[in-house]
Amino acid sequence: MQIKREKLKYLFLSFIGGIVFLVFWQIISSLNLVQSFFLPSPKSVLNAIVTLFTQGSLLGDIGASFFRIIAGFILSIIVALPLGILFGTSKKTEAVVEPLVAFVRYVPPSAFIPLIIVWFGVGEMGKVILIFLGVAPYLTLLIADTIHAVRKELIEASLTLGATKSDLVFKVILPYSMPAIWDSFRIMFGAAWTFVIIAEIVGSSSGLGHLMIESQRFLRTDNIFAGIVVIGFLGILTDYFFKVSSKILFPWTDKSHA
Amino acid sequence: MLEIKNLTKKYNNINANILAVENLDLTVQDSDFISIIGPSGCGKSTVLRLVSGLVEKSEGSILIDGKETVGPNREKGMVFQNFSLFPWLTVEENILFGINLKKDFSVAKKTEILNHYLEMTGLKDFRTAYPKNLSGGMQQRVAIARALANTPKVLLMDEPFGSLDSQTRSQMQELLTRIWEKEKMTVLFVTHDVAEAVFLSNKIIVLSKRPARIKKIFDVPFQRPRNHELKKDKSFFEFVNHVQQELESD
Repeated sequence: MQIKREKLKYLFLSFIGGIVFLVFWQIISSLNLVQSFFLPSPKSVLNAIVTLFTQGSLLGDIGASFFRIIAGFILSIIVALPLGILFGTSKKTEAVVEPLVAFVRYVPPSAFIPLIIVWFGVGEMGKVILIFLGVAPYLTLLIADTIHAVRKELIEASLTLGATKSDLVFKVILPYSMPAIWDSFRIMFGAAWTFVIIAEIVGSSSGLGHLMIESQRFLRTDNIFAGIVVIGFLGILTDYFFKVSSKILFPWTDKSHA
Repeated sequence: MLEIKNLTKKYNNINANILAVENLDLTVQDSDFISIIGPSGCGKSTVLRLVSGLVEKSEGSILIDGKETVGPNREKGMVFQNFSLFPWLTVEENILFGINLKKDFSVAKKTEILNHYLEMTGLKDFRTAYPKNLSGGMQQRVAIARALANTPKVLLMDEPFGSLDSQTRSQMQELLTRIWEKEKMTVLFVTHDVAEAVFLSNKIIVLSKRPARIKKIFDVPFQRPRNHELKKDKSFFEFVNHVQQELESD
Protein backbone atom coordinates (compact mmCIF):
# COMPACT_ATOMS: atom_id res chain seq x y z
CA MET A 1 0.00 0.00 0.00
CA GLN A 2 2.71 2.40 1.06
CA ILE A 3 4.70 1.67 -2.08
CA LYS A 4 1.67 2.24 -4.31
CA ARG A 5 0.95 5.61 -2.73
CA GLU A 6 4.58 6.66 -3.15
CA LYS A 7 4.42 5.64 -6.80
CA LEU A 8 1.22 7.63 -7.42
CA LYS A 9 2.76 10.65 -5.75
CA TYR A 10 5.82 10.30 -7.98
CA LEU A 11 3.70 10.00 -11.13
CA PHE A 12 1.63 13.00 -10.11
CA LEU A 13 4.72 15.15 -9.54
CA SER A 14 6.19 14.07 -12.89
CA PHE A 15 2.92 15.07 -14.53
CA ILE A 16 2.99 18.47 -12.80
CA GLY A 17 6.58 18.95 -13.99
CA GLY A 18 5.53 18.37 -17.59
CA ILE A 19 2.50 20.69 -17.33
CA VAL A 20 4.54 23.53 -15.80
CA PHE A 21 7.03 23.25 -18.64
CA LEU A 22 4.28 23.34 -21.31
CA VAL A 23 2.50 26.30 -19.67
CA PHE A 24 5.78 28.22 -19.46
CA TRP A 25 6.46 27.48 -23.13
CA GLN A 26 2.93 28.56 -24.13
CA ILE A 27 3.23 31.82 -22.15
CA ILE A 28 6.51 32.75 -23.83
CA SER A 29 5.17 32.08 -27.30
CA SER A 30 1.80 33.81 -26.76
CA LEU A 31 3.49 36.92 -25.31
CA ASN A 32 5.43 37.07 -28.58
CA LEU A 33 8.69 37.48 -26.70
CA VAL A 34 10.32 35.36 -29.39
CA GLN A 35 9.29 35.21 -33.04
CA SER A 36 7.21 32.13 -33.73
CA PHE A 37 9.67 31.23 -36.50
CA PHE A 38 12.32 30.62 -33.81
CA LEU A 39 10.04 29.25 -31.13
CA PRO A 40 6.75 27.82 -32.38
CA SER A 41 3.97 27.41 -29.83
CA PRO A 42 3.28 23.97 -28.26
CA LYS A 43 0.03 23.87 -30.21
CA SER A 44 1.67 24.40 -33.59
CA VAL A 45 4.29 21.74 -32.74
CA LEU A 46 1.47 19.34 -31.88
CA ASN A 47 -0.21 20.24 -35.17
CA ALA A 48 3.06 19.60 -36.98
CA ILE A 49 3.36 16.18 -35.39
CA VAL A 50 -0.22 15.27 -36.36
CA THR A 51 0.28 16.52 -39.93
CA LEU A 52 3.58 14.70 -40.28
CA PHE A 53 1.94 11.55 -38.99
CA THR A 54 -1.10 11.68 -41.24
CA GLN A 55 0.23 13.32 -44.39
CA GLY A 56 4.00 13.22 -44.06
CA SER A 57 6.61 10.56 -43.65
CA LEU A 58 6.89 10.57 -39.83
CA LEU A 59 5.90 6.94 -39.31
CA GLY A 60 8.29 5.78 -42.03
CA ASP A 61 11.07 7.97 -40.59
CA ILE A 62 10.57 6.56 -37.10
CA GLY A 63 10.66 3.07 -38.61
CA ALA A 64 13.87 3.80 -40.53
CA SER A 65 15.67 5.23 -37.48
CA PHE A 66 14.45 2.43 -35.27
CA PHE A 67 15.55 -0.23 -37.73
CA ARG A 68 19.08 1.25 -37.86
CA ILE A 69 19.31 1.43 -34.08
CA ILE A 70 18.12 -2.15 -33.67
CA ALA A 71 20.56 -3.42 -36.32
CA GLY A 72 23.50 -1.47 -34.84
CA PHE A 73 22.53 -2.50 -31.34
CA ILE A 74 22.23 -6.19 -32.10
CA LEU A 75 25.60 -6.09 -33.86
CA SER A 76 27.06 -4.35 -30.79
CA ILE A 77 25.64 -6.96 -28.42
CA ILE A 78 26.96 -9.82 -30.56
CA VAL A 79 30.47 -8.39 -30.25
CA ALA A 80 30.37 -6.73 -26.82
CA LEU A 81 28.78 -9.52 -24.79
CA PRO A 82 31.40 -12.26 -25.40
CA LEU A 83 34.21 -9.69 -25.38
CA GLY A 84 33.01 -8.14 -22.14
CA ILE A 85 32.71 -11.56 -20.49
CA LEU A 86 36.20 -12.45 -21.72
CA PHE A 87 37.61 -9.16 -20.39
CA GLY A 88 35.87 -9.64 -17.10
CA THR A 89 37.10 -13.18 -16.56
CA SER A 90 40.53 -13.31 -18.20
CA LYS A 91 43.25 -10.83 -17.31
CA LYS A 92 45.29 -11.87 -20.36
CA THR A 93 42.59 -11.08 -22.92
CA GLU A 94 41.90 -7.83 -21.17
CA ALA A 95 45.57 -6.86 -21.39
CA VAL A 96 45.70 -7.61 -25.13
CA VAL A 97 42.47 -5.98 -26.30
CA GLU A 98 41.69 -3.34 -23.68
CA PRO A 99 44.00 -0.59 -25.03
CA LEU A 100 42.40 -0.87 -28.47
CA VAL A 101 38.88 -0.71 -27.07
CA ALA A 102 39.81 2.20 -24.82
CA PHE A 103 41.33 4.01 -27.80
CA VAL A 104 38.23 3.59 -29.95
CA ARG A 105 36.11 4.62 -26.98
CA TYR A 106 37.89 7.97 -26.65
CA VAL A 107 37.53 8.87 -30.34
CA PRO A 108 34.10 10.47 -30.84
CA PRO A 109 32.14 8.15 -33.16
CA SER A 110 31.37 11.14 -35.40
CA ALA A 111 35.11 11.35 -36.16
CA PHE A 112 34.75 8.07 -38.02
CA ILE A 113 32.07 9.45 -40.36
CA PRO A 114 34.41 10.53 -43.18
CA LEU A 115 36.08 7.13 -43.14
CA ILE A 116 32.78 5.30 -42.92
CA ILE A 117 31.44 7.19 -45.94
CA VAL A 118 34.57 6.29 -47.92
CA TRP A 119 34.35 2.64 -46.90
CA PHE A 120 30.64 1.99 -46.85
CA GLY A 121 29.06 4.91 -48.72
CA VAL A 122 25.95 6.65 -47.40
CA GLY A 123 23.76 3.53 -47.39
CA GLU A 124 22.31 1.64 -44.44
CA MET A 125 25.55 -0.20 -43.72
CA GLY A 126 27.47 2.98 -42.86
CA LYS A 127 24.82 4.11 -40.37
CA VAL A 128 24.72 0.75 -38.65
CA ILE A 129 28.53 0.78 -38.44
CA LEU A 130 28.50 4.26 -36.86
CA ILE A 131 26.06 3.11 -34.18
CA PHE A 132 28.19 0.04 -33.65
CA LEU A 133 31.36 2.11 -33.22
CA GLY A 134 29.57 4.36 -30.76
CA VAL A 135 27.92 1.62 -28.72
CA ALA A 136 30.11 -1.51 -28.80
CA PRO A 137 33.29 -0.22 -27.05
CA TYR A 138 31.35 1.36 -24.17
CA LEU A 139 29.09 -1.65 -23.84
CA THR A 140 32.12 -3.98 -23.73
CA LEU A 141 33.71 -2.05 -20.87
CA LEU A 142 30.41 -1.74 -18.97
CA ILE A 143 29.87 -5.50 -19.23
CA ALA A 144 33.48 -6.23 -18.21
CA ASP A 145 33.04 -4.03 -15.11
CA THR A 146 29.83 -5.84 -14.22
CA ILE A 147 31.54 -9.21 -14.55
CA HIS A 148 34.43 -8.00 -12.37
CA ALA A 149 31.95 -7.12 -9.65
CA VAL A 150 30.52 -10.64 -9.22
CA ARG A 151 30.56 -11.44 -5.52
CA LYS A 152 33.59 -13.60 -4.76
CA GLU A 153 31.70 -15.68 -2.21
CA LEU A 154 29.29 -16.90 -4.93
CA ILE A 155 32.25 -18.12 -6.99
CA GLU A 156 33.65 -19.86 -3.89
CA ALA A 157 30.31 -21.45 -3.02
CA SER A 158 29.88 -22.83 -6.54
CA LEU A 159 33.45 -24.21 -6.57
CA THR A 160 32.75 -26.17 -3.37
CA LEU A 161 29.62 -27.53 -5.09
CA GLY A 162 31.68 -28.88 -7.97
CA ALA A 163 31.47 -26.12 -10.58
CA THR A 164 33.96 -26.20 -13.46
CA LYS A 165 35.35 -23.07 -15.13
CA SER A 166 32.65 -23.06 -17.79
CA ASP A 167 29.99 -23.65 -15.10
CA LEU A 168 31.34 -20.55 -13.36
CA VAL A 169 30.83 -18.42 -16.48
CA PHE A 170 27.47 -19.77 -17.63
CA LYS A 171 25.79 -20.81 -14.39
CA VAL A 172 27.08 -18.22 -11.94
CA ILE A 173 28.72 -15.14 -13.44
CA LEU A 174 26.30 -14.58 -16.33
CA PRO A 175 23.01 -15.15 -14.48
CA TYR A 176 24.21 -12.98 -11.61
CA SER A 177 25.32 -10.19 -13.97
CA MET A 178 22.31 -10.18 -16.31
CA PRO A 179 20.29 -7.45 -14.54
CA ALA A 180 23.29 -5.08 -14.58
CA ILE A 181 24.02 -5.99 -18.21
CA TRP A 182 20.37 -5.31 -19.07
CA ASP A 183 20.75 -1.92 -17.42
CA SER A 184 23.84 -1.26 -19.56
CA PHE A 185 21.71 -2.06 -22.61
CA ARG A 186 19.23 0.56 -21.45
CA ILE A 187 21.91 3.22 -21.08
CA MET A 188 23.59 2.42 -24.39
CA PHE A 189 20.26 2.30 -26.24
CA GLY A 190 19.87 5.96 -25.33
CA ALA A 191 23.34 6.64 -26.71
CA ALA A 192 22.42 4.80 -29.92
CA TRP A 193 19.74 7.45 -30.55
CA THR A 194 22.48 10.11 -30.57
CA PHE A 195 24.47 8.27 -33.20
CA VAL A 196 21.56 7.46 -35.48
CA ILE A 197 20.49 11.11 -35.58
CA ILE A 198 24.07 12.20 -36.37
CA ALA A 199 24.29 9.62 -39.14
CA GLU A 200 20.98 10.70 -40.64
CA ILE A 201 21.82 14.40 -40.50
CA VAL A 202 25.10 13.78 -42.32
CA GLY A 203 23.60 11.87 -45.20
CA SER A 204 20.34 10.03 -45.49
CA SER A 205 17.06 10.04 -47.36
CA SER A 206 14.97 8.78 -44.47
CA GLY A 207 14.84 8.73 -40.69
CA LEU A 208 14.13 11.32 -38.00
CA GLY A 209 17.52 13.01 -38.47
CA HIS A 210 16.78 13.38 -42.17
CA LEU A 211 13.33 14.78 -41.39
CA MET A 212 14.89 17.45 -39.19
CA ILE A 213 17.67 18.49 -41.54
CA GLU A 214 15.14 18.70 -44.39
CA SER A 215 12.89 20.86 -42.21
CA GLN A 216 15.83 23.14 -41.56
CA ARG A 217 16.39 23.55 -45.31
CA PHE A 218 12.77 24.56 -45.77
CA LEU A 219 12.82 26.71 -42.60
CA ARG A 220 10.09 24.61 -40.97
CA THR A 221 11.00 25.17 -37.32
CA ASP A 222 7.73 23.58 -36.20
CA ASN A 223 8.75 20.33 -37.91
CA ILE A 224 12.22 20.44 -36.30
CA PHE A 225 10.52 20.78 -32.91
CA ALA A 226 8.18 17.97 -33.85
CA GLY A 227 11.21 15.74 -34.52
CA ILE A 228 12.78 16.62 -31.17
CA VAL A 229 9.55 15.92 -29.28
CA VAL A 230 9.06 12.59 -31.05
CA ILE A 231 12.64 11.50 -30.27
CA GLY A 232 12.12 12.46 -26.63
CA PHE A 233 8.96 10.39 -26.41
CA LEU A 234 10.55 7.40 -28.11
CA GLY A 235 13.40 7.69 -25.60
CA ILE A 236 10.97 7.63 -22.67
CA LEU A 237 9.20 4.63 -24.20
CA THR A 238 12.38 2.57 -24.68
CA ASP A 239 13.54 3.47 -21.18
CA TYR A 240 10.21 2.30 -19.83
CA PHE A 241 10.46 -0.88 -21.88
CA PHE A 242 13.85 -1.75 -20.36
CA LYS A 243 12.72 -0.96 -16.82
CA VAL A 244 9.53 -3.01 -17.04
CA SER A 245 11.16 -5.94 -18.83
CA SER A 246 13.93 -5.94 -16.21
CA LYS A 247 11.37 -6.42 -13.45
CA ILE A 248 9.73 -9.26 -15.36
CA LEU A 249 12.98 -10.97 -16.39
CA PHE A 250 14.76 -10.60 -13.04
CA PRO A 251 12.19 -10.92 -10.27
CA TRP A 252 14.95 -11.96 -7.84
CA THR A 253 16.75 -8.61 -7.63
CA ASP A 254 16.32 -6.28 -4.64
CA LYS A 255 14.98 -3.57 -6.93
CA SER A 256 12.01 -5.51 -8.23
CA HIS A 257 8.86 -5.83 -6.15
CA ALA A 258 6.98 -8.60 -7.86
CA MET B 1 38.08 -40.01 6.46
CA LEU B 2 39.73 -36.61 6.23
CA GLU B 3 43.45 -36.39 7.01
CA ILE B 4 45.29 -33.11 7.36
CA LYS B 5 49.03 -33.63 7.36
CA ASN B 6 51.71 -31.09 8.17
CA LEU B 7 49.50 -28.24 6.95
CA THR B 8 51.40 -24.94 6.71
CA LYS B 9 50.46 -21.55 5.32
CA LYS B 10 52.86 -18.64 4.86
CA TYR B 11 51.85 -15.27 3.48
CA ASN B 12 54.72 -13.51 1.77
CA ASN B 13 54.14 -9.79 1.85
CA ILE B 14 56.56 -7.08 0.83
CA ASN B 15 56.82 -6.00 4.45
CA ALA B 16 56.76 -9.26 6.31
CA ASN B 17 56.46 -13.00 5.98
CA ILE B 18 53.54 -14.10 8.07
CA LEU B 19 53.24 -17.66 9.25
CA ALA B 20 49.48 -18.24 9.60
CA VAL B 21 49.32 -22.00 10.12
CA GLU B 22 52.23 -24.24 11.08
CA ASN B 23 52.54 -28.04 10.85
CA LEU B 24 48.93 -28.79 11.63
CA ASP B 25 48.00 -32.49 11.80
CA LEU B 26 44.43 -33.61 12.23
CA THR B 27 42.36 -36.65 11.34
CA VAL B 28 38.59 -36.51 11.11
CA GLN B 29 36.97 -39.95 11.10
CA ASP B 30 33.87 -40.60 9.00
CA SER B 31 30.67 -39.49 10.72
CA ASP B 32 32.56 -37.45 13.28
CA PHE B 33 31.68 -33.91 14.29
CA ILE B 34 34.74 -31.87 15.17
CA SER B 35 34.86 -28.19 16.06
CA ILE B 36 37.85 -25.90 15.81
CA ILE B 37 38.02 -23.00 18.23
CA GLY B 38 40.78 -20.52 18.97
CA PRO B 39 41.53 -16.93 19.93
CA SER B 40 40.29 -14.38 17.40
CA GLY B 41 42.70 -13.86 14.53
CA CYS B 42 44.43 -17.19 15.17
CA GLY B 43 43.65 -18.42 11.68
CA LYS B 44 40.92 -20.98 12.37
CA SER B 45 38.97 -19.86 9.32
CA THR B 46 42.19 -20.02 7.31
CA VAL B 47 42.60 -23.67 8.33
CA LEU B 48 39.11 -24.43 7.03
CA ARG B 49 39.71 -22.55 3.77
CA LEU B 50 42.99 -24.41 3.32
CA VAL B 51 41.17 -27.72 3.75
CA SER B 52 38.50 -26.65 1.26
CA GLY B 53 41.19 -25.70 -1.25
CA LEU B 54 39.83 -22.17 -1.68
CA VAL B 55 43.14 -20.94 -0.24
CA GLU B 56 46.32 -22.51 -1.52
CA LYS B 57 48.45 -24.20 1.12
CA SER B 58 52.20 -23.63 1.35
CA GLU B 59 53.10 -27.11 2.58
CA GLY B 60 51.46 -30.31 3.67
CA SER B 61 48.66 -32.39 2.27
CA ILE B 62 44.93 -32.92 2.58
CA LEU B 63 43.70 -36.47 2.05
CA ILE B 64 40.19 -37.80 1.68
CA ASP B 65 39.90 -41.58 2.04
CA GLY B 66 43.64 -41.79 1.58
CA LYS B 67 43.71 -39.83 -1.68
CA GLU B 68 45.27 -36.38 -1.92
CA THR B 69 42.81 -33.61 -2.83
CA VAL B 70 43.91 -30.27 -4.25
CA GLY B 71 41.72 -27.24 -4.91
CA PRO B 72 38.01 -26.83 -4.23
CA ASN B 73 35.69 -29.64 -5.33
CA ARG B 74 32.38 -31.35 -4.54
CA GLU B 75 33.95 -33.74 -2.02
CA LYS B 76 34.52 -30.83 0.36
CA GLY B 77 31.20 -29.08 0.80
CA MET B 78 31.17 -25.75 2.57
CA VAL B 79 28.72 -23.56 4.47
CA PHE B 80 29.77 -19.92 4.77
CA GLN B 81 29.03 -17.32 7.42
CA ASN B 82 27.30 -15.01 4.93
CA PHE B 83 25.12 -17.81 3.43
CA SER B 84 26.33 -17.16 -0.17
CA LEU B 85 23.09 -18.25 -1.78
CA PHE B 86 22.59 -17.71 -5.49
CA PRO B 87 20.10 -14.83 -5.50
CA TRP B 88 18.70 -15.60 -8.98
CA LEU B 89 17.70 -19.14 -7.98
CA THR B 90 14.74 -20.18 -5.86
CA VAL B 91 15.18 -22.23 -2.69
CA GLU B 92 14.77 -25.52 -4.55
CA GLU B 93 17.04 -24.46 -7.41
CA ASN B 94 19.69 -23.44 -4.90
CA ILE B 95 19.47 -26.81 -3.17
CA LEU B 96 19.76 -28.66 -6.49
CA PHE B 97 22.63 -26.51 -7.81
CA GLY B 98 25.39 -29.07 -7.20
CA ILE B 99 23.27 -31.99 -8.37
CA ASN B 100 22.29 -30.20 -11.55
CA LEU B 101 25.98 -29.64 -12.36
CA LYS B 102 26.55 -33.38 -12.24
CA LYS B 103 23.85 -34.15 -14.82
CA ASP B 104 23.60 -37.86 -13.93
CA PHE B 105 20.47 -37.80 -11.79
CA SER B 106 16.99 -38.66 -13.04
CA VAL B 107 14.19 -36.19 -12.41
CA ALA B 108 12.55 -38.61 -9.97
CA LYS B 109 15.78 -39.03 -8.02
CA LYS B 110 16.29 -35.26 -7.90
CA THR B 111 12.78 -34.71 -6.59
CA GLU B 112 13.36 -37.34 -3.94
CA ILE B 113 16.63 -35.71 -2.79
CA LEU B 114 15.06 -32.26 -2.88
CA ASN B 115 12.06 -33.29 -0.78
CA HIS B 116 14.29 -35.08 1.71
CA TYR B 117 16.37 -31.97 2.41
CA LEU B 118 13.43 -29.55 2.26
CA GLU B 119 11.75 -31.68 4.90
CA MET B 120 14.86 -31.99 7.03
CA THR B 121 15.55 -28.24 7.11
CA GLY B 122 11.89 -27.20 7.43
CA LEU B 123 11.87 -25.32 4.14
CA LYS B 124 8.90 -27.05 2.49
CA ASP B 125 6.74 -23.94 2.46
CA PHE B 126 9.51 -21.79 1.01
CA ARG B 127 10.59 -23.93 -1.93
CA THR B 128 9.75 -21.37 -4.62
CA ALA B 129 10.91 -18.29 -2.68
CA TYR B 130 13.95 -16.27 -3.70
CA PRO B 131 16.72 -15.70 -1.12
CA LYS B 132 15.89 -11.97 -0.89
CA ASN B 133 12.57 -12.90 0.71
CA LEU B 134 14.11 -15.12 3.41
CA SER B 135 15.42 -14.23 6.88
CA GLY B 136 19.05 -14.93 7.76
CA GLY B 137 18.20 -18.15 9.57
CA MET B 138 16.12 -19.40 6.64
CA GLN B 139 18.90 -18.52 4.20
CA GLN B 140 21.39 -20.53 6.22
CA ARG B 141 19.00 -23.51 6.23
CA VAL B 142 19.02 -23.35 2.43
CA ALA B 143 22.82 -23.18 2.41
CA ILE B 144 23.04 -26.26 4.66
CA ALA B 145 20.52 -28.16 2.51
CA ARG B 146 22.43 -27.11 -0.63
CA ALA B 147 25.72 -28.41 0.75
CA LEU B 148 24.20 -31.67 2.08
CA ALA B 149 22.18 -32.47 -1.06
CA ASN B 150 25.49 -32.63 -2.92
CA THR B 151 26.61 -35.44 -0.52
CA PRO B 152 30.15 -34.22 0.14
CA LYS B 153 32.65 -36.52 1.87
CA VAL B 154 33.22 -33.83 4.47
CA LEU B 155 31.15 -30.77 5.36
CA LEU B 156 33.16 -27.68 6.26
CA MET B 157 31.27 -25.03 8.23
CA ASP B 158 32.87 -21.61 8.66
CA GLU B 159 31.16 -19.84 11.58
CA PRO B 160 27.82 -20.56 9.91
CA PHE B 161 25.69 -19.07 12.67
CA GLY B 162 27.99 -16.13 13.47
CA SER B 163 25.82 -13.50 11.82
CA LEU B 164 22.50 -14.66 13.29
CA ASP B 165 20.76 -13.26 16.37
CA SER B 166 21.13 -15.39 19.50
CA GLN B 167 17.63 -16.88 19.41
CA THR B 168 17.92 -17.95 15.77
CA ARG B 169 21.45 -19.19 16.41
CA SER B 170 20.31 -21.52 19.14
CA GLN B 171 17.47 -22.83 16.93
CA MET B 172 19.99 -23.50 14.17
CA GLN B 173 22.30 -25.33 16.58
CA GLU B 174 19.48 -27.65 17.54
CA LEU B 175 18.52 -28.14 13.90
CA LEU B 176 22.10 -29.00 12.95
CA THR B 177 22.40 -31.44 15.86
CA ARG B 178 19.16 -33.16 14.80
CA ILE B 179 20.39 -33.39 11.20
CA TRP B 180 23.75 -34.77 12.25
CA GLU B 181 22.24 -37.35 14.57
CA LYS B 182 20.15 -38.58 11.64
CA GLU B 183 22.53 -38.24 8.68
CA LYS B 184 25.88 -38.77 10.45
CA MET B 185 27.80 -36.69 7.94
CA THR B 186 31.43 -35.83 8.60
CA VAL B 187 31.68 -32.24 9.85
CA LEU B 188 34.54 -29.86 10.52
CA PHE B 189 33.07 -26.82 12.20
CA VAL B 190 34.78 -23.48 12.97
CA THR B 191 33.38 -21.15 15.61
CA HIS B 192 34.48 -18.61 18.22
CA ASP B 193 31.56 -19.59 20.48
CA VAL B 194 32.72 -22.24 22.98
CA ALA B 195 29.21 -23.20 24.10
CA GLU B 196 28.23 -23.73 20.48
CA ALA B 197 31.23 -25.98 19.92
CA VAL B 198 30.45 -28.02 23.05
CA PHE B 199 26.77 -28.39 22.19
CA LEU B 200 27.40 -29.55 18.62
CA SER B 201 30.60 -31.57 18.63
CA ASN B 202 32.07 -34.91 19.56
CA LYS B 203 35.53 -33.38 19.77
CA ILE B 204 36.88 -29.85 20.14
CA ILE B 205 40.24 -28.75 18.80
CA VAL B 206 41.69 -25.70 20.55
CA LEU B 207 44.14 -23.76 18.43
CA SER B 208 46.96 -21.55 19.71
CA LYS B 209 47.55 -17.93 18.78
CA ARG B 210 49.12 -17.36 15.37
CA PRO B 211 50.72 -19.37 13.89
CA ALA B 212 47.82 -21.77 14.42
CA ARG B 213 48.88 -25.05 16.05
CA ILE B 214 46.81 -27.59 17.93
CA LYS B 215 47.00 -26.75 21.61
CA LYS B 216 44.56 -29.21 23.08
CA ILE B 217 41.87 -31.68 22.02
CA PHE B 218 38.76 -32.21 24.17
CA ASP B 219 36.35 -35.12 23.94
CA VAL B 220 32.86 -33.82 24.63
CA PRO B 221 31.30 -36.12 27.26
CA PHE B 222 27.60 -35.41 26.67
CA GLN B 223 25.21 -38.12 25.51
CA ARG B 224 23.17 -37.89 22.35
CA PRO B 225 20.50 -37.09 21.33
CA ARG B 226 21.13 -33.61 22.66
CA ASN B 227 18.57 -30.83 22.92
CA HIS B 228 18.53 -27.32 24.33
CA GLU B 229 17.85 -28.63 27.86
CA LEU B 230 21.51 -29.64 27.91
CA LYS B 231 22.56 -25.99 27.84
CA LYS B 232 20.88 -25.39 31.21
CA ASP B 233 22.74 -28.29 32.82
CA LYS B 234 25.42 -27.53 35.44
CA SER B 235 27.84 -30.06 33.95
CA PHE B 236 27.47 -28.41 30.53
CA PHE B 237 28.23 -25.03 32.05
CA GLU B 238 31.31 -26.35 33.86
CA PHE B 239 32.64 -28.07 30.76
CA VAL B 240 32.23 -24.90 28.68
CA ASN B 241 34.16 -22.96 31.35
CA HIS B 242 36.88 -25.58 31.37
CA VAL B 243 37.34 -25.31 27.58
CA GLN B 244 37.12 -21.52 27.75
CA GLN B 245 39.99 -21.44 30.27
CA GLU B 246 42.15 -23.56 27.99
CA LEU B 247 41.32 -21.25 25.11
CA GLU B 248 42.33 -18.13 27.03
CA SER B 249 45.49 -19.49 28.71
CA ASP B 250 48.84 -18.82 27.08
